[in-house]
Amino acid sequence: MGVMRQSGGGQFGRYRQDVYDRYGPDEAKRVENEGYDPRLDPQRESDSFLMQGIFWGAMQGFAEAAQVPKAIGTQILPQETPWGAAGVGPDVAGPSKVVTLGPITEEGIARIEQHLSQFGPDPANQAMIARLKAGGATAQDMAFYMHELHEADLMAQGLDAEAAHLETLKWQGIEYKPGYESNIYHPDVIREYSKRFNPAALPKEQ
Amino acid sequence: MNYLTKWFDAIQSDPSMLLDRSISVTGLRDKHLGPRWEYANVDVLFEPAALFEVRFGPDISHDDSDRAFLDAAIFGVLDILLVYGPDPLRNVRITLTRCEIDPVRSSQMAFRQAGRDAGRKVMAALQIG
Repeated sequence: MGVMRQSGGGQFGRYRQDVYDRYGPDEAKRVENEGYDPRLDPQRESDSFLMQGIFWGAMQGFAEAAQVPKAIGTQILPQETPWGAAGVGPDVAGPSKVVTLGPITEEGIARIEQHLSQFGPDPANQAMIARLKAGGATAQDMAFYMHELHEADLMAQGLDAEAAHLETLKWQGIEYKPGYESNIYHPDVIREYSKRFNPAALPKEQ
Repeated sequence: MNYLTKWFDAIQSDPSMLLDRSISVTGLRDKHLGPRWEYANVDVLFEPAALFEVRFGPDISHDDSDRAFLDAAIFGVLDILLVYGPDPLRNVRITLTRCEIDPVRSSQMAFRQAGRDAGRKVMAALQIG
């Protein structure tokens, strides 16, 4: 997967694109590989998390809520909504105004757990949630988080499970094809629960 | 006492329940699990037999890539046949007559669950449980 994905990238694609435009390809790669968001790094004087939160909030009409910093793991995040921070895309509808640009909040994780509970216990999903709670912020961690929040909102609006699932993949820019789960689950989780995944999703080294 | 070993021995040595007729059922797994989906669909024929036996219908692919799915379906059937009733149902010939693999959503676990569904349905047909 390249750093730049011009079309079909959804909210995460625009997020990566924005980092690329402002900070260049190296930082965009960190977004891809580490889940790092330079716009939220308080060490950057000209791009403080507060200014960025105000920028994104103003852009999206949520400036009033972009003032409260919150720490999760090693990240320092502006808190904007119950589910996350740093911008709400105009294509995102739903009662909770899902925010999916990277920051991961405790409230968002709780929302995911509530959403997933309706499908029954699943060790792979539980392992991904454990990663999020431990501060996991790889591209797969963020994609899992984003997927569940958006899917929960679509189902709350009345979409059935399958339509919400497929629409969310489309929104994330993830092509529905064999192995697509490798974009959403960390490779360690896929390895540990390999029988629960389509063979095309297994990490290459297996 | 090693209960696992003792339990395993009993599964193999206790008298088998007897199947009095042939029964064909469909085992289905079609479940949304949040970020992924599990899908598998199999038709299984159960026939009376002197010993446990597994066969595959002529339309079943035996490609290596599919073999793990087929094995998982049989394991799923056994999960139910061996423990669901008062005694194991072991003297049975199982023929997998149809196996639908979804290229995106199928996994070994999906087929194990489909096999269990087939096992539960044959038990229900026999009014066992």
